[in-house]
Amino acid sequence: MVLFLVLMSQNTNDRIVSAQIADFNRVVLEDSVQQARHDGYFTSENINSTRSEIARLCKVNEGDVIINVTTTPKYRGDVFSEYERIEYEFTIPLNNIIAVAGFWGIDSDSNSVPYTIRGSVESELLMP
Amino acid sequence: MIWFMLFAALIVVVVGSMSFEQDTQAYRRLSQKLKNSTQNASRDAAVFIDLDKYGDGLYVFDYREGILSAKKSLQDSLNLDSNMKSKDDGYWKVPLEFEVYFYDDSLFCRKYVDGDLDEITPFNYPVDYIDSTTGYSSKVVAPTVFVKVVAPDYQFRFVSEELLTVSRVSSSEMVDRR
Repeated sequence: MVLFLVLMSQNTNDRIVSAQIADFNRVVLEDSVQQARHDGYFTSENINSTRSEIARLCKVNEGDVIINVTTTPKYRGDVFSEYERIEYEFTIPLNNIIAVAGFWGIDSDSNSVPYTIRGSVESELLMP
Repeated sequence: MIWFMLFAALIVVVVGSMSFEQDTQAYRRLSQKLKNSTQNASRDAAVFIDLDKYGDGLYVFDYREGILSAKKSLQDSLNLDSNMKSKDDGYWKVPLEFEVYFYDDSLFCRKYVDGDLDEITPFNYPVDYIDSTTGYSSKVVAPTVFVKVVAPDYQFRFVSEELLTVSRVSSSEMVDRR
């Protein structure tokens, strides 16, 4: 019966982790990256608001959100250039991957994995 | 004995349903990832335009630059190498296919498959774009770029030996031209 309950709670845990990933994806890809595309780079306001929004929705500490993005302006050109693309990499820790980890003898450090979203987009900022 | 057999059967059912549930969640995440990637790729492809034609009042995409940008966007967001296969022993062992459709004021729809020109079809606004695989449809009333990604070899455990194909399409439209 205990095993049965453990398996069921794992199912619930998986749903929670999936919801975290979905929220993380939405904040980064649908809000932050599109704003950066418009601004030509990730402004400090964009980075700060993204960090706090990720922390709020994904239930992680703001300090645990690792953000490595383009912070200098990139411009919309006439021809494609890899060097004029806005790059981004956001990482959060996914905690409590295994439900009732104590039952299996897994400590909390081992029960966490980093989840990263990375990519690059064109800037839509016109050259001044 | 009967209780043991009932318990064992229950465990099998629970583990089976859990695996199916996890596969479904993974499929949903994969599908959403492809959707986000195609959204960014279509918007990237639409950034480049033919400036000479633009000076004549026509909105015509720069297909070559657009294809390069869309491909780079997909490679970076899905962690693919130049052959569109996963880097670092990642998920996709076979190349992902991608198609790009440009509808613009040249009044020709240009279809590119894996970066190469495949088909040129005349059209006039408005025209219906219907994707045969996903059923995605959209009425094209302004210059628009569609990007489609086909990711093969997705497998559900315990359900089917058949490999599934995940496919998503997104578009980027010049809204101010509506």
